[in-house]
Amino acid sequence: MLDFRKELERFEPLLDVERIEERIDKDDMKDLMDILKEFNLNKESSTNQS
Amino acid sequence: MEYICPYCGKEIKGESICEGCHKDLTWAQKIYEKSNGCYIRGYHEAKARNLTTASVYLKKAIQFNKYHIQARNLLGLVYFEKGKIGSALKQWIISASLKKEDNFASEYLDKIQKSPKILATYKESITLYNKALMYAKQQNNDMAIIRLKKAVTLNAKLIEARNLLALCYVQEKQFYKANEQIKNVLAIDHANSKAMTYSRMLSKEDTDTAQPYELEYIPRQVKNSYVKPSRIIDRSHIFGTYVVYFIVGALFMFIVQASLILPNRTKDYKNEIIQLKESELKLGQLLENERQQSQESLLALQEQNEKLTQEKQAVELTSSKMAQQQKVSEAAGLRTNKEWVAAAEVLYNVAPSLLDEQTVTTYQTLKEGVYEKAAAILCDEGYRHLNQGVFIEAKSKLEKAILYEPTGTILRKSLYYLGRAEKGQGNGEKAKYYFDAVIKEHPGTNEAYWASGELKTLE
Repeated sequence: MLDFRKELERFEPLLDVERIEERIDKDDMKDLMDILKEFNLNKESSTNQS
Repeated sequence: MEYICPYCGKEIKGESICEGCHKDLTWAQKIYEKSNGCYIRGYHEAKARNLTTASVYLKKAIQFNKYHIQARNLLGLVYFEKGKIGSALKQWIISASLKKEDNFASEYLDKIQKSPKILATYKESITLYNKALMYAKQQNNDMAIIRLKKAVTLNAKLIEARNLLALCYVQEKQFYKANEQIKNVLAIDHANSKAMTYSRMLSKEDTDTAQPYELEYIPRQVKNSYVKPSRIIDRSHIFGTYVVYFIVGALFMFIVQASLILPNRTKDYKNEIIQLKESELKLGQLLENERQQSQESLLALQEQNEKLTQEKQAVELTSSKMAQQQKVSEAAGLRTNKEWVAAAEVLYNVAPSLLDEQTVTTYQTLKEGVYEKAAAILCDEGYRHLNQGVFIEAKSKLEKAILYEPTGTILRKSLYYLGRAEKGQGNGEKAKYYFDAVIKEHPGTNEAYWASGELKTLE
């Protein structure tokens, strides 16, 4: 038998249609390349410091 | 494959060295190939209508390469197909911002903007789903079910709403209805994880028979076809039924009017007529009573009037009698004083019928004594006036003398003297009359002789 509460946790509210532009955060515009770039930058800055 | 140089942002078409910044892009190529691989797998899953699996791969594709426009557009389409309109629009908006020209995302956004009613419907369905989720988390399944049913009616492809509705039905032990929802979900998204979980659970339950408490809603069997939400309600097939209902209702009202309302009104009117007639009778009686009373009053007044009149007459009679008696007394007094002419005048005005017996005797006695003497005196006075030429006064005296003593000497003389007075005034005819009277009534007397002589002079 299903656990109602546990199953309920799998549901999340849906994104509303209005003002979608405001809902676009920086995570939506970040991909692996950006993460690697950040990582490289941090690495370079730490190398320069040492 | 096209991708963007991570160093300078220039568009690169498969080269391993960037033409702009001349940096090695081998590592970037691998990441982009991974992204593309995910996109292709997502594409195949979407084609097979495994939308949940497709969305997973497509998300990975854009996580590797955010500039993978096709993956983002396809992800938006998958979301749209699953009813997640907000998420779909978000992906298309991001896609359109990353690549403005030659991008399907712009077309999708234009199409949706040109259908504001549909967008409003989708928006309402999402709002209802969110509210229903809140109610479900508050253990208020009834409210949640109501909203989810409405959401599904508005947007039949809203898979999350159907899944949540199925879960609520399972909780309410309405397995038939839950199964219906799950079937719909799997028809849209063949590999939906939630739906498959619930389906496995429901396989152990009886889902072929609708329980009595489920009978108020039995959805139509939709096999591999989309339930199209529609706001237009077609009433043409039940219009005839409405017309029949109207006619039956009108007929029923007519019957009620004729059998219940009209007889009651007629009865009320009849009662009113009876009351009015009774009132009329009462008024008639009152009027009759008044008339009788008036008549009685009138009779009484008439009687009283007669009585008063009689009393008045009696009083007047008494008064007259008293006056006559007074006159007799006065005449007696005048006689005592030997004023014969005055006494005769008073006696002449007495009405003997009003005198009592005793007074009548007195009156007769007086009259006999007074009249004769008064006549003589008046005759003499008349003669004197005649000789003085005062004819009018002479005539007056002589006429009175005749009144008091209409027989005998006085009459004879008075007639003669009157003739002479008339002659003296120039009244020949009257003089003749008097002279003729003397001659005829008293022939052989001195006055007759003198009268005949006077007649001859007149002729």
